[in-house]
Amino acid sequence: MTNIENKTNHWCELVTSEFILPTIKTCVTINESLSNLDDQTIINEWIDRSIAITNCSYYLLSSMTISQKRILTIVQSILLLILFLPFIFELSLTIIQYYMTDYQLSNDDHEALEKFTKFFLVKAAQIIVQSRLGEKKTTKSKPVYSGSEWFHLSIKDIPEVTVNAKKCLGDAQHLLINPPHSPFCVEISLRTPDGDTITLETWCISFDDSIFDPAQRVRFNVYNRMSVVLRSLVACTRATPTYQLSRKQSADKYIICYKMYSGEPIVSHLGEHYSKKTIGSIVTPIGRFVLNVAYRTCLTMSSPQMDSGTSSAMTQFGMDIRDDHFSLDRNQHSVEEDSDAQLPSAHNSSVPKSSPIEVTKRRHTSCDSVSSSHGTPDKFYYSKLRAAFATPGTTAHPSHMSSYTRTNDNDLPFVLMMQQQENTHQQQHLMEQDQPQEQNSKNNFFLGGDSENETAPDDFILVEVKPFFGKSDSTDDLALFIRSCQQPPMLESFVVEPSLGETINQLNEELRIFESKVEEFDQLVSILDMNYKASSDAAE
Amino acid sequence: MNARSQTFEFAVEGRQIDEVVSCMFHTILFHRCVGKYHTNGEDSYSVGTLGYTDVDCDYIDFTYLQVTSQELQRAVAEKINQFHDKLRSSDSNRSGQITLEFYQKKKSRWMFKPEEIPWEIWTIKIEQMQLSSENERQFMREKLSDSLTERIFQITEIINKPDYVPKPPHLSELDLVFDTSYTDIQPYLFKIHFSDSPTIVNHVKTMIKEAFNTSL
Repeated sequence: MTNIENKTNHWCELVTSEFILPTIKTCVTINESLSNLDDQTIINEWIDRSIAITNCSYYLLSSMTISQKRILTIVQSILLLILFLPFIFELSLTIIQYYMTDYQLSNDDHEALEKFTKFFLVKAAQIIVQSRLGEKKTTKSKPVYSGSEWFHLSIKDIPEVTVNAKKCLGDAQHLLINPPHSPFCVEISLRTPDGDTITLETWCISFDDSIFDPAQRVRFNVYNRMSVVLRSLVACTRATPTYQLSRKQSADKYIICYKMYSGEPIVSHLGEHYSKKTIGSIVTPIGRFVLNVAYRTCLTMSSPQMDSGTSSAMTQFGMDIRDDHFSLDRNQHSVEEDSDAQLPSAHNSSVPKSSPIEVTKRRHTSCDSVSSSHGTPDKFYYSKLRAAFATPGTTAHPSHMSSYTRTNDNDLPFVLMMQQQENTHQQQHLMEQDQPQEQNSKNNFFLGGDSENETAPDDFILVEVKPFFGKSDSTDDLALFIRSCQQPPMLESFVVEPSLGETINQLNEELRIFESKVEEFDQLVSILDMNYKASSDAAE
Repeated sequence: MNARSQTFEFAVEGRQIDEVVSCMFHTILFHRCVGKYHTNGEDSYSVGTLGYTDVDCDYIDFTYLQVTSQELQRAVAEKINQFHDKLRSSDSNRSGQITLEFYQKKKSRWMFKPEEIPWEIWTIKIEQMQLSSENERQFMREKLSDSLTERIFQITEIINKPDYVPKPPHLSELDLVFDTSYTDIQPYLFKIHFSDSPTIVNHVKTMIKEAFNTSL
């Protein structure tokens, strides 16, 4: 180690990677062992040992003075620092970022982000619910911004949905971007008239604060990204199989309901092979929004009348139910509301009940179904059947009747007829006629009478009890008489049907008679004319 | 410049060509459109609103979305009809492709034409099928709606990736990025072109064209 002498110093040669890395190792080992000695010795020893370990020029040792060795040490440490400076810098920055996330956004920006988030969630809910209403949508493009549209998209707001969404989101404490970042979910389900419900889709907007990008400007980048994601959402709501199902919904088959909640999305009742897709994500300075959907792919229900579809299983349920029963039920809700799309929903804070989505036109369809039902005798007889078997004084009738009471009379004359029917039955305990009674009610139906007709007509005829399908003993004189009075008399031509030849002969005969009596007819006309003239003169 | 490109393939019946291509193109255009810029004074502008319309398909069980703009619908429909006619009229070619290309114009130097640099290319390859039985037709129809669903999700996934989209330029240079010829909307500059089944000659032609463009 000390054998070399009088060689010139080559400082630059010292600074090699071979020199520096082992030097660090040496520093560590030396500091542990030489703690008791004074500084001078330590440094000297240290330098000597480093040089020995490294493959650098051994001529350093003898030619160097102490000051030179010190300088060497200092230069070494400076170089090390320079080498590792970027790394240290990055490390400190990451640590700062990790702990100081909330403070990165200015108050202004934070408020703006909160506002955008709120509107984003409400608009997303609007889009989802509106797409499941079952009708085609068209909105206008406006070249000039009118100040009320958010995200440069023309989305009309259904007030009820906005109210529900705002209730669900609660106050700012529970907003998505603030902890605990509970996701906002909209669930779409299908409800059959029997009350069976199956969940079809769950749309979920979640916030993840581990991925963020401070470079995104809230007012520009984030806003535009939200606009694009909303557009993707609109496109995707039309793409899932539920859309086709919702277009075919109607009061007598099934209806689509929605439900909003805050919390982890519930996907367990989407069936086995549900499909999950991400629609888009928005990175903000404090976290990332992710919008995804999980939808059911196998739509089989345990109903015998249903025909199962293909692998993607888009099925239709054709269930036969009484038109009037279900539609009346539906209409009871929709009558009181004035809003454009009927969306009655009951809703409590934690898990709101499902709400059916209806449209005004549903009222008309139910009307049609009811009006058609009066034409079919089956429905008629069904209600009659119930009435026939009811014992007098039972409460079955009134309670059933009350479910049919309506504020708007004009829609369902069938109901009025039913009401009248019940009334008359109630008044006269055992007064039931089968056919004559039906005729009576039918006529009342066509009259479309007054609704508050509580009392029975005075000229009601007392007749013996005859069960509906009992002895069809129509030979009873009175029954016959009534029947003949009720109905208009049969036209003779329906009873006696002459053949074509006979008819022609008859006509010929008649013509001859008329021709022969032409004079008489002329006389009649002139008398009538004179009478008319006389009466008009008298009037003047 | 590297344009990212995406290709979708479909095997459809003749009458479904129009609807499949419209569905894809309109969905893409809906995302690559902004509201009409309206200048208020020097440097500030306001952005108009986009509306959308549902369109039901007659020959497929599908409904797609398009931007509510007569002019845009007409322009796109025209091109698609031309493609449709070309494909159905030629008996030999059972397949063809149609491309929707978004490009950017570069400022022209001296007297040269402004360069058009594509930044996104969407290609749809169509292959015509001949179906024999009604059952087969029904089956293929359902499969087509499923595949369209998948494609729509793919499109949204691609568009939502943080890839290059031309930055909104200065108001004076809007024409270089946006198509300002429409009155109610402002899509990014785009063009639609199509070709019949690609033969060797076409391939070579396109290759030479591309090489020429990129080398300039």
